[in-house]
Amino acid sequence: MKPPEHQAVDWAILADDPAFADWEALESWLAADSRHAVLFDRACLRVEEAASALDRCDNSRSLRLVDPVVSSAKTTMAASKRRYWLAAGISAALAGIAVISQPLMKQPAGPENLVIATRAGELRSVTLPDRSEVALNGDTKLVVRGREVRLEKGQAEFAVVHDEAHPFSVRVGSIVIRDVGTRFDVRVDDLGTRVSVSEGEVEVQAAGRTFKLGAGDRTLLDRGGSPTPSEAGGPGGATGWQTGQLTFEDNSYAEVFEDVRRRTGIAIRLESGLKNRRFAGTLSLGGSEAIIIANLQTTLGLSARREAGGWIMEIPRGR
Amino acid sequence: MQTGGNTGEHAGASLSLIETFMLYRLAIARFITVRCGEEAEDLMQELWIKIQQVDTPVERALPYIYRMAHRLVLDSRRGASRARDRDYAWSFATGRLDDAETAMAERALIAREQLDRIDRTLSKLGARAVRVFRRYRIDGVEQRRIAVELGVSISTVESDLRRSYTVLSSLMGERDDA
Repeated sequence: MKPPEHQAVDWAILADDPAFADWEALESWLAADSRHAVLFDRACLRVEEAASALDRCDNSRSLRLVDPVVSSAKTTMAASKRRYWLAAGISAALAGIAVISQPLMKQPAGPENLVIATRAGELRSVTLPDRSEVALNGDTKLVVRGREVRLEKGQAEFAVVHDEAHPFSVRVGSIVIRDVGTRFDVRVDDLGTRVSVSEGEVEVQAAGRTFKLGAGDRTLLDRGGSPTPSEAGGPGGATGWQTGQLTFEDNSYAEVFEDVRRRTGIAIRLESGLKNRRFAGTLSLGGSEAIIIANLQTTLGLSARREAGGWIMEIPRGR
Repeated sequence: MQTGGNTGEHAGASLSLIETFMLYRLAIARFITVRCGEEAEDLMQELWIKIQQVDTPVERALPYIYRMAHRLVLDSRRGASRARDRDYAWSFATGRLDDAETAMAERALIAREQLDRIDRTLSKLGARAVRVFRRYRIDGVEQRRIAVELGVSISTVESDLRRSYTVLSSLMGERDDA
C-alpha cells in the first residue's frame, strides 16, 4: 500500500482531469482516514498555485520575444500562402506592431500561432483568415491559431463570422468564450476578465460551468474563472475605446487612468489620494497629447504637471 | 429519506442539475464535510445558489456538481491568502498607500522567487515531464491525447505527472512551513 501522501497526489491528478467522474470513490478515500483530506487539499492547492505561476510566466516570456522588425518579416514569409495574414503582417510591420510565429513549445502541431500585439496608444484592426474582424486596443496581445484566439493581455473586440461547424473561441487563461454569431468585447486586467456582448450571443465556459451571454450582457470573471458577484449590475469596463470617447459608469481613478494609458500611451501617475476617487462620465481622448491632458484636467478638475517619463495628476492647490 | 451515495454510475444524463442536487444532497454534503467540517453548511448553501444560476444544459450533472463542490472547497481552503488580500484592499481603501505599495512590491518579489524555484525543480525532471505537466495542468489536455502528441505510452504520461505533482506539492510545502 502506498503512503497516504502518494495516494493524495494520485487523487489530485485524477481530480484535475476534466473528465473525472468518480467523485464518490474519492469521497470514500477521503473519509477513510482523517489525514487524507488534508493531504489531498494541500496537493491540489499547491499544484494549482505552481501551475498558475507558470502560466503567468509563460505569458510574460512570450511578450519579451516579440521583436517588431525581425519577427514581422519572419511571419510574412511563414504565412505567405495566406493572403490575409500577409496583409496583416505588412500593415503591422508598418505600424511597428509585432507579429510573429510563436516559438514556444506549447501547441506542437497544426497551423502555427500568430501573435498580434499593440503597444499602449496603438489601435489596430485585423481581418482574420475566416473574415472575422478583431479590433485591438493599445497594450494588447493576442495569439491566433485558426479560429482559436488567446487574449494574453489587454482588450479586443471581435466581430465574428459564424460557422456552426468551426466555432470561434477566445480563451483567457482557463476561461473559454465561444461565439454563436456575434460581436463581443473581451478585456483582461488585474481584476479579472470582462466579457461584454453587443450583438448575438456567446457561450462562456469557466471554472467548470458554462453559461450564455446575450446582447447587452456582461460579466466579470476572477482569475479562477468564477463570476464575481459584485459585477451583477455593478460597474463594467469602459466603453467607446474605439472612438476615443471613453465612457465610464462608475470606476476608480486607478482604473480610469489605466484605460487612458492603454488607449493613448500617455503615462500618467496619480497623486496617491486620487486613486480611489470614482468617476462616471465620458472622457475625450482625441487630439495631441497636450490636448488630451488639457481635456482630462478640465473634465476631472485636476491639475497636471510634467514629470520624468510622463505626467502626474494632482488635486489643484488653492493659491 | 434519500440515501445519496454509490449510485453515481447511471445518474446525470436525463436529470437536471437541480434534481440531481436534490437527489444527491447527502452524498455531496459528505464530500464537502469530510474536507472542511464546520464550513460545510455555508459551502452547501453557496453551491445550491450557484447551481440555480447555471442556465445551460449539462451533459453529466453529478460529476459537474461534484466539480463545483470541489472548486468551492479549494476556494475556501485558500482562505488565508484571501485574508491577506483583504488587508491589502483595506489599506488601499483607507489611503495607507505606502503600506499597500510596499506589500505589493514584496509580493512581486516573493512571486519571482517562487517561480524560480518551480522552474528549477520542474526542469530537474526533464523536458518531457515539464511538457506533460504544462499540457495537462495548464492547457487542460487529457492524458491520452498527451501520450499521442508525444509518442509515448499512457503509463509514461501517468508517471511523469506523478513525479511533477509530487515535487510541486513538497516544494510549495517548504515555503508554507518557512
